[in-house]
Amino acid sequence: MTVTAPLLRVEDLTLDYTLPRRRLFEAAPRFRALNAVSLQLAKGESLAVVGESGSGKSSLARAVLALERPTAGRVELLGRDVYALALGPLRALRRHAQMVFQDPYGSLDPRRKVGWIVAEPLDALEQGVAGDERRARIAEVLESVGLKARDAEKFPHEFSGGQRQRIAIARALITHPDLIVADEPVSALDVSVQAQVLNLFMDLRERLGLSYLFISHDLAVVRHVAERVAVMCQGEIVEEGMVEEVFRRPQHPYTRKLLAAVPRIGGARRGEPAATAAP
Amino acid sequence: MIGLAVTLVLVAVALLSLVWTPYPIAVIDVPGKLQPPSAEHWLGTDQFGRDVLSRIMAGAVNSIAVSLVAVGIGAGIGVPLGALAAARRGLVEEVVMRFNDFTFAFPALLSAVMITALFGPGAVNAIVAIGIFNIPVFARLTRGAALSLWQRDFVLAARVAGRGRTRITLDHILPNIASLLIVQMTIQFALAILAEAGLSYLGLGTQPPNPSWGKMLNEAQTLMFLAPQLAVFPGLAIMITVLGLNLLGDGLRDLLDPRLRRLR
Amino acid sequence: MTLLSLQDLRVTIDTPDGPATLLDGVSFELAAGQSLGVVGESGCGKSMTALAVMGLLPAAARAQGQILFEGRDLLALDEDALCRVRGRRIAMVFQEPMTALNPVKTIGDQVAEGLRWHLGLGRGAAEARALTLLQRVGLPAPRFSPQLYPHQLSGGQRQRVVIAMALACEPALLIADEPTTALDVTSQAEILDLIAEVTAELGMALMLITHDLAVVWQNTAAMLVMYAGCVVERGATAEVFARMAHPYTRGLLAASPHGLDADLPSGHRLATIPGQVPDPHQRPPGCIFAGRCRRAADACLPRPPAERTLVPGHGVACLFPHDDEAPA
Repeated sequence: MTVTAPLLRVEDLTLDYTLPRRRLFEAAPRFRALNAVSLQLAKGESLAVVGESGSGKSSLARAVLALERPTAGRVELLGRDVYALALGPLRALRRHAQMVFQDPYGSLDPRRKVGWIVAEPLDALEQGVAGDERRARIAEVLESVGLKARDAEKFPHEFSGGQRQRIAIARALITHPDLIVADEPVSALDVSVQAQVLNLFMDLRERLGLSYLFISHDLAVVRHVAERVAVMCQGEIVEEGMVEEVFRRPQHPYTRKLLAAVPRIGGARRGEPAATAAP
Repeated sequence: MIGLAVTLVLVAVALLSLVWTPYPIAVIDVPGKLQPPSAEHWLGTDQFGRDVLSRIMAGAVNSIAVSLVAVGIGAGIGVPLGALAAARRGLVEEVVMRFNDFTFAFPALLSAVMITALFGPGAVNAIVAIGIFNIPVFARLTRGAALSLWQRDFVLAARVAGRGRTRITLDHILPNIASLLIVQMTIQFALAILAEAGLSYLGLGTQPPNPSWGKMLNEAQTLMFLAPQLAVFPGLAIMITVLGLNLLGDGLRDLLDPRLRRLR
Repeated sequence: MTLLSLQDLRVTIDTPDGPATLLDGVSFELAAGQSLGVVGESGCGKSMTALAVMGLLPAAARAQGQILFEGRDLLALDEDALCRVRGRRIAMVFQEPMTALNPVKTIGDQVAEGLRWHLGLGRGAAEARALTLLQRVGLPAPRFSPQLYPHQLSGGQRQRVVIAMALACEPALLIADEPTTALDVTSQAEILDLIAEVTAELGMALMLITHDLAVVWQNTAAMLVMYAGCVVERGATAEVFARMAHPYTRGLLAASPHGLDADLPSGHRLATIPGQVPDPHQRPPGCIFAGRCRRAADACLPRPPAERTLVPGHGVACLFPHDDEAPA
């Protein structure tokens, strides 16, 4: 470990959701989405969080970006406790951590032009960037994700799913953040588009020195973008380690179960031997 | 844009009636009562011999003004309340929604009668009374639609971008529910015309001799078999107005939606 | 015995921008009790093929060609006759188990519905049979009461209910359209296991539609690769994977993170297919994949390549197919 504070430190993070009351005078039931989760991320490093739906991985992503208030524990970004900050300093800190969402259709406001969407974090977090400078920043960031500067004048519906995800990535990049939290960013995409977007993630990381907190249910995807992986199950991290290590020698039974469930080409097949289907 | 054309013609007719109508609206001509449509009286005359066309033109002013302002009040107060409830949740939401329930719990027309009874009959009080009962309609609709939008990823993205609740409401929530609100406004407008008719019928709305469409309808009710045209023409006027506004609403909705704009 | 035979199926749909071709001469055969994987990316026509077989094409769509099922041309049947085939002889499992179930009816009722409608069972008999079916798909009675509602179940459990509904009338063909795409990997494995078991048990044919080559490899005996409304490669699954003759098939494989690269280091770039799927309003006259194909030559442009047989049972619609072994 280095002496400088890590980019992200999560300590004993616990998050309960209050469920609707069943009866009027009964304490509302609670659901523990995160149970004492701790992790660290150094600058330039990438960590993948894998788990099934309901494992708490999306809650973790939101808590890290101060979108949910945890029941206990702390999240430090660049050495500062995000939940202890007032609104102003928290806003200043947001420049350094941005997010990419799963559904490229839901994460872009259909009524706004691409330029407006991409510039939203800039307008909110770096007041005073306007006119030519703002236009230049939009063009720069669109080009960095493989789109064209003139795409800023179009609406999201004019783009395919993969291109929309590029727009969402551009929005996350415009404030030059250190950390990108990506919540299942490729699982809604087609295979060939998925490959393009994953490659983009890797390119951007090399070029800009980004760190990713990469949330996914797909172990195969994770191997390409992160060097460390944390496996989550029912709100807890059950195993954490270097990606290659976890893949080769999974320790926890849950990790083994997850790995075994991934279908592999060339692996075991169900049913009877092949028959022909040609006309 | 048929809707826009119809609406513009109606507004023009209403404005015209302020300075000119074919016949004076209040002059009683008993011998010439209940005439069928003719060259002199295009739409015939009523039970006092007044020209129906003139009264419909003048009635347009009252009916449209009352309904528009009433819907304006309802939307103007209801939409911000609903948006606020969705944005703040918690106690604010509880207070707003219980206020809505409270208003909703009174039968609208009865309460309008109460209000006009308290503050005196007249067009202005009718407007206020109808307007108040439009507030919860818009507040509820806005809150419901806004709540589902607050769950959407693009709103979450705006929060990650550091936007506050007010900016998110203005930039993302309201533009995305505008079409819904416009459609609701045209529905409420039709209801407001009918509510104004009801109040006028009870003598609590537009005061005689000023005509309104609703009042003309109600007056024609007793003469339904003798002179059906007396009910038909104000009814047609209401129908055309509502239809025109609905078409206008649809047009505006499509215009506001960038996904549909290209197809037009 | 051939159960389902599509012959030169063409589907076009009228859009504000003119007619769009969604399926362009799709032909294949599926024998009773066989499994067929249909693989391709979104918009390739794989779901449209399933909808055509179910007689559920959108109203603006026009279909030409033949869909012979148990000797009858489904395209020639009227809606009443189709209703007796749908659910009774052909059943379907959808991608999204939440929307495929009615949220205000109990799972027991939903399974029983098909039995009462198609088989004319009485209420009691249908309920008893529904109970057996739910047990068969892994939702046994005391723990999973038929009185439960869909929202009380997990995604995988809901998909089991959908499968129970599909099995109700013991159809001859089960169409599963991306049945596990919305599920976690562990649920996916369980649901695919279940589908394999029940189809084998009842001797049902299976048409498994997916974008995931690994799922096709694992679960089907024969496969079609579709691209932009055309079948570009077909054959016995093991044969197709051994050869991967069509450049598009290879592109799909190389792009897949589930591929063969078990030992590649982290940060390795995935191969991509350049370009975009052609606009269905303006399809090129020649090979539909030529615009994105590294092997394309002038000969590919004037007319679409005829399908040629590489070995019996393995066809490819390409003038320059790969003839080496697949990079396995």
